Amino acid sequence: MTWPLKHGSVALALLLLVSACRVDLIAPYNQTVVDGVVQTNSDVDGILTSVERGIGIDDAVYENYVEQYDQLHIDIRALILQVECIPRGEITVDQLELLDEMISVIEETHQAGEFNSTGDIVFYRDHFSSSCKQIIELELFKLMERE
Amino acid sequence: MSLDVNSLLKTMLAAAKDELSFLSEDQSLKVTKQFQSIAEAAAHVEVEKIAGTLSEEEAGRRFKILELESKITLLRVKGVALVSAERIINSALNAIAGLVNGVVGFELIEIDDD
Repeated sequence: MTWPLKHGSVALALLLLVSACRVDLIAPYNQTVVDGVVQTNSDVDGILTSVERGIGIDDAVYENYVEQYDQLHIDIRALILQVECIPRGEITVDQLELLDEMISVIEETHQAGEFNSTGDIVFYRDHFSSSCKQIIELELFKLMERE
Repeated sequence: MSLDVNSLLKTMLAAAKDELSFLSEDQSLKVTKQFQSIAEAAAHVEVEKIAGTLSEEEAGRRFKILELESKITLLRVKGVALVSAERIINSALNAIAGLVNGVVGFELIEIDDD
């Protein structure tokens, strides 16, 4: 007795699946994300390069960079808000939130006065930059695969 | 006991062996590179701790950065896998669309021209 019902359900499920036509599992390529992440990387690099040049002198102290850090957080949160409005954009939202957390850790390090050598700066610059690259590469992969 | 980068890397790769087997060579390489960074950072902390040039707080922050970077890398791997899965499903649907639509007499499966 249950066979026709079972078969009917499977057929209906298949029909619904197929009728959905194109299957989208992840948000499409987003130029705003690429531009935003490139800009964020450039801004962080700008702060770290400036701090590197000022190691050992008062100019490099955290207090002189508070506004720049604030702006970084504001910009990345604005980008997150934009991506949150796009269906299936969760992976990028998660990546951007992690990037924002990374900025907070860099800020804490600066505040703790731990940027004492070029090596200290290079560690943070390299890993931040590599993380930005991962986000951009995913966007570019979407673009290439869907062309 | 001294930390050895290769030994740490081998241990991490062995722990993630099953999960890594599902990834493409390119994606698996990305994850391996990330593990290598973590192993190198752990060994570096040991060297700097002996030299007295790295505080515990700073070592913690550096590991936090590596942890966050690893999560971003894994999300990239997940995203690439989803795009690939999407392409497989859409290619399969496209492959039968003409035949199925012709037989049923209407556009049951929309042909994807992308």
